Amino acid sequence: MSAPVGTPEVVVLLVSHDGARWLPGVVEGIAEQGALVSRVVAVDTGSRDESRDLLAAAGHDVVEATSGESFPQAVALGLRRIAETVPAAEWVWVLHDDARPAPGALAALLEAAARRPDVDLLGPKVREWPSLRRLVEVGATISGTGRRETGLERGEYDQGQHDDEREVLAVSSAGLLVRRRVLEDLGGFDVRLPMFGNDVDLGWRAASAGHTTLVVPRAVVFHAEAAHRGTRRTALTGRHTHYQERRAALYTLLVNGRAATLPWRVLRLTLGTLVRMVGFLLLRSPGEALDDLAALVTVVFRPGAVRAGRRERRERLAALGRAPDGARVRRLLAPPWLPYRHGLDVVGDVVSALTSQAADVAERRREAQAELDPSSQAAARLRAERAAREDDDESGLADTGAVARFVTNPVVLLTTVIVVAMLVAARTAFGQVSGGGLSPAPDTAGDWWSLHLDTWHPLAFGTDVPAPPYVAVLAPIASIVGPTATIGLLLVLAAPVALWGAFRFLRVAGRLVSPLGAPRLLLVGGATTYALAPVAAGAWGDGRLGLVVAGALLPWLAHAALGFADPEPDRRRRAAWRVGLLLALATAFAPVAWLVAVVLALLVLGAGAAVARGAVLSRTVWGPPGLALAVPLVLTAPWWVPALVGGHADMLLLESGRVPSADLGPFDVLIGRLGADAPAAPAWAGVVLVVLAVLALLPRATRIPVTLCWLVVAAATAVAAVLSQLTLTLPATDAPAGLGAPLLVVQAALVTAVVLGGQGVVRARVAPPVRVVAAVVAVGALVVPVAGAVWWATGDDRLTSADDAEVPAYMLQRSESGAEYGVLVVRGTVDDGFRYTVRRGDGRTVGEDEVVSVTDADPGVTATITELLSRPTPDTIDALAGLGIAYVLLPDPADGSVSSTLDAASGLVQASSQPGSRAWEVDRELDASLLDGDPSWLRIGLLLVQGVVLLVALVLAAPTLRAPRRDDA
Amino acid sequence: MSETPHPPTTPARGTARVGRSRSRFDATLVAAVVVPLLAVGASALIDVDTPTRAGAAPSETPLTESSIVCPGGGGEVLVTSTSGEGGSVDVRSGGTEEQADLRPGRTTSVDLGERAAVVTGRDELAPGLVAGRFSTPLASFDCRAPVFDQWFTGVGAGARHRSTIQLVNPDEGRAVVDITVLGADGEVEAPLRGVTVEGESTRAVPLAEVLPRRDELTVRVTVVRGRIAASVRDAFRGVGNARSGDDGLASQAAPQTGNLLLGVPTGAGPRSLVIANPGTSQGRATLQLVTGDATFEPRDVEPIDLPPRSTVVVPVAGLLRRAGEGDEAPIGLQVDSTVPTTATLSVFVEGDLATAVPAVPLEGPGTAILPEGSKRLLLGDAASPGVVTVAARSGDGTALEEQRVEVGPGRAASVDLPDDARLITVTPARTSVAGVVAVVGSGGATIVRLREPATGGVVPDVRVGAP
Repeated sequence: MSAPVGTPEVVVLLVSHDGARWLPGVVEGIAEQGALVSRVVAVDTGSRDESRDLLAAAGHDVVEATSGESFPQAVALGLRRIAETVPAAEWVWVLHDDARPAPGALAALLEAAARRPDVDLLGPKVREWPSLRRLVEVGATISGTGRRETGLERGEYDQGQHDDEREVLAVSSAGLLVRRRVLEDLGGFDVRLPMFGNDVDLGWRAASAGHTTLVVPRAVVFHAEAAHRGTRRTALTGRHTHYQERRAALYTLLVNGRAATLPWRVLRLTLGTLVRMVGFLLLRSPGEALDDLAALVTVVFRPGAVRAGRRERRERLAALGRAPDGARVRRLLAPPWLPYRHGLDVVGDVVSALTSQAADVAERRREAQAELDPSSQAAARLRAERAAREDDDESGLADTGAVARFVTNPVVLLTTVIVVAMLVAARTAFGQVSGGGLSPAPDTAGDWWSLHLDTWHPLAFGTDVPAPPYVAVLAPIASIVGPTATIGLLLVLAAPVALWGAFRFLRVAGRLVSPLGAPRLLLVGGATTYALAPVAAGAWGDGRLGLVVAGALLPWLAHAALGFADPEPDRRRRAAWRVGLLLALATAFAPVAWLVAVVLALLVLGAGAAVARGAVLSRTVWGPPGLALAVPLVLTAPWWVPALVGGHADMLLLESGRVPSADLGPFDVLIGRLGADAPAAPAWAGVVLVVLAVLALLPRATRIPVTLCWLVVAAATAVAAVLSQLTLTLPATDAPAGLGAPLLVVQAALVTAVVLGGQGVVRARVAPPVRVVAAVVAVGALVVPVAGAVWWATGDDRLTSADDAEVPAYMLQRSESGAEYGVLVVRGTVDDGFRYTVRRGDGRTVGEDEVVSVTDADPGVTATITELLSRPTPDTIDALAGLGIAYVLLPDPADGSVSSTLDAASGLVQASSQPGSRAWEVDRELDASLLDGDPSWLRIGLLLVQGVVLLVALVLAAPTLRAPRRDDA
Repeated sequence: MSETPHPPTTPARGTARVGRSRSRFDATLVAAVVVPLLAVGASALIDVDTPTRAGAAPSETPLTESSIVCPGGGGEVLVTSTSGEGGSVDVRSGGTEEQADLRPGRTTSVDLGERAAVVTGRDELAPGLVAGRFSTPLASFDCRAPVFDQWFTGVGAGARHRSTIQLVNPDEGRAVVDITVLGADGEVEAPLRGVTVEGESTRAVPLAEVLPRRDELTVRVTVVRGRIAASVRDAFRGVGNARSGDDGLASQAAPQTGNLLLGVPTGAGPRSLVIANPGTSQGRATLQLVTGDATFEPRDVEPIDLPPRSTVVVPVAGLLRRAGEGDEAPIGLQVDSTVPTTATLSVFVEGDLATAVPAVPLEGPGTAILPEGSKRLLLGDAASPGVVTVAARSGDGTALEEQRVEVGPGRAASVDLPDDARLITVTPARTSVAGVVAVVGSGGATIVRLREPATGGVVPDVRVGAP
């Protein structure tokens, strides 16, 4: 190709279809290029609007085609016309009917072409039309997964940051300046790519044939991307633009890739499609997921098109007498790590969206009100605030870095110190931990999985009691970090997570009450007090994992529940799914939490009905809370339904962990102490909080919300009062109902009351004397979190890293080799009676306590053991072996008469044990099938339902990551 | 702050604009007072008190097999059954085993040499099995079922007073006992932890060889594994004839604060009381004499100091010599202490040793097989006034005279038994009573305790335990 002398002849090839909306601008843009355009050939593919007239009126040469002609065919038609009418044309400038060139675009392209005679294809910088400022593309390539890579952020503004001329794989066909001969040699655009992706394919083919494609950012074309955005639907795009795009991408990859890599590409694209489908489902876009699948099926399972395309490319290259320029193509394709970076970006987006979901409920309520009454003072203030915020943005926070902001913010520093102190105080929980109400963690996550998924457990003498619901939460975490670390992480991170959640909840609650919200120091104080509540109550020190986790979830749950106050029904529905999920989690760890939630929901709806009957009767108002209450019911169904059916209703009210939980006395729920025996902080600190909450009723500005907090206190306390009348009669012991969840709700409501009351004092301009009193009270209020923290750091807990060494090590080793090697542990004396338990596998671990506690004693088993302890015969020992017992252990102090009875029994062999205790080995063969039971199809079905509903709930609760496609124009 | 704040949890948006009248404001104030009061009131109602489940007592069941172990050293083994049934029981000694035919009321003797013997009754002969063994000069051997914990007070490990502990394992498996020793100055270090006795064998522990020392000792034998019948053979070898003799030293199940030692002989002679305080606190004991009429504290007797974990010897010869005679003669010695103690009274009668230890009060019929000699039944420690029926039989089962004796708290009773009585049964009515038989004859003396033969077994209460 020789360098042109003077100005080369350029013909514009404009393809239009129903583009009357944009065409006037496009025609104007072409005119602005001046004399550089020697002729305009417009191909109109059967427009039904006035496109044709517009083109003809502009004096362009209009080629008429039917609406069945695709873009490649239209281009081919145009080329033919050019060959006929302007045989001297050296360059063809391809434009779309929605692509308007900026003035000087063609000149810049031609100037670059003159400078770089080796270049055969040139493309402009494409900016968004009508926004004009946003970048669409500055050259493009394609990744191994078929994604069109532009190297741009979504909606990136053009500030000259991509203004380097560079060689690219492809440029957009909107504004493509190409040597006519090259375009003809390459066979134009591939007709098998009617709408999308044909530019990348062309670029790829050009690169393969050794042509250079250059992007010239000085040349600018504005492109409305009407087809891509779905604004314009044609017979060719159909309704499924996503399907078309995806099909084009897959076709491009398969038709241009090297033959040797084809099987690998097919495999990768198939797997990738599945992953993308999951992603689309998570984003609640089932249509796009199906489009993806359909595209894969069309391309991969109908290989005719790909085969034909590959043959055609081979023949054209052969005709040109060139070998494929693989090195150039590889250089220009997207780097292989790019898809993974996109994956990380998506995760980051999800996380940030999740964390900022309900944060602006207060803001949206104010906006909604301002809209209802734009003349109100509140609306005026809102506008002023917004203006001020924009000024702030303009004045540039950019020059203060994250570190500087961190160090100079006392609230952040204080919070950091608190969190670090919490982590230090929780040091007992690092590593293996058990004690109090907490059993040791199992050895592997698989133990938790099978506890959750199996319907029959080889515990005690075999039981069909369903596993507690929190096992389903622990198992997946443990699959990643291991069971021991799971327990440790939950115990260590619970307080910081509660602190975070409480801070967020209190901030929004404060803003709901008044637009300024509470001062941040007050928020930090309140959040810290709440975060320490499970610790101060003694739940942490007693190893009540369920309460600790529920305590950490509670503020997040409350925060999500604020979404019910959102003005938009759709957001209320999303909030319902989120609340449902969080409530299901909380219920899994502290079952009584659900009861409290029901009572609170009824109370709030009842109060709402009293104030405004009509509003509450609307389904969009009562529906979401109802949904939120129903979700936990479904998600925990594999637990509570079999428990009810099996006659273990007691299980539904038990506190999680070892039974029995603590007995609570009068006022314990109010002052937040789990009974007199709990390793709890001093009670006076709890009394201080109650007193403060009473004082919080004084400021008039916040009296109503504080009273509402007290209403929550009263409701939760009432639930506790009713439950406290119950004694759960378990086979081995009596246990109280779990009052920990109401206690935590009470504490949360008290803290909220104090913070809101404090906000009322601070924000209302009260008289100076009152301020002094308030200041004194504020200092007094500091006592609560400080006392809690000091007590935590210094006080005793019942958690320990030691394993209890009652059962000799050799027995443990054997019992871990199979469930049938149980150790029968018998405590007591002949005079006072005996109590037997069985240790199997790795012992009683987290999640098994509740199962074993409510498993009814088999009378036959008890009879066998009674016989064993009084007058054992060989038949007794056979029966014992049939129960899967390998050892009999009488811990210290062993009853002498029973010991001698067992010593004399034939079939039992004396075994070594710790001083004071006695042990015997059962001299019989044991069989692994001894403890087998029948599976429960009911529970299997419920587990399936649980899995499906969990997925659905996760998808429906997920935040909105992107807006659905809408008409932009 | 002029606008009405929104309730944070009320979803009824835009409907809170109801008229702000004065009465509404009052309602807010009332709610602000009432709601917290309700909360406090509700919390006051919460008082959980979960009962802890107490264990239950064992239930009675018929005995299907019972064993009695007679320590080695004596002569023939005398066996009988109070069950009223006849039949044969196994008597095992070392490798030999014999059947003994029992007939109701009759005392059957089995001669298997001097070794320890195990008598086993089955089925209908399991309840009410009684055995006895004696030697000359008159000494008794405590034939009883194995127990797991017992105290022997006043054992010796010196040249003059030497005691031998005999451990009999009636079962096939190995048995292990722990023996702890309390001396005059506290616990004595002794290599007697984990003493092993192989199955169906006997092990003698001569204390003078294991831990030679001169003070009086107290020994606690605790069975760690298996079953063991422990007994102590006491021997005094004095310079003069008056302080020599052998006897079996019976055991006491547990220390107690009141110990009644029945079997105070009349007349003069060496008598010594040994008291052991196994506890860790200092105690003090007082002595009282029990006669047929009353219990009284003799004059000029100082309280006895009991140092912690020690054995104290109290010479009581003078005290007993000064006591009255005839009807006023003391029958028993009551040792009351501020801390739980064990006690033994060693006396020499007819130049032979006899030891008295606290007898267990009988709730039902108590039985003993008696040796030849003149016999006197001593009853005491009655819980309340009542009547005791005393039935005696001769060796061939002939019923001898039956006597009814009135007993009461604070006094003892002494009943002369026919010389040819070989089996005695004491049945208390409306009370419980402790009883021993003091026997003099064959050149010596001994004291035989009455026991309730095992008539039933117990089945413990068994339940599933809390995890």
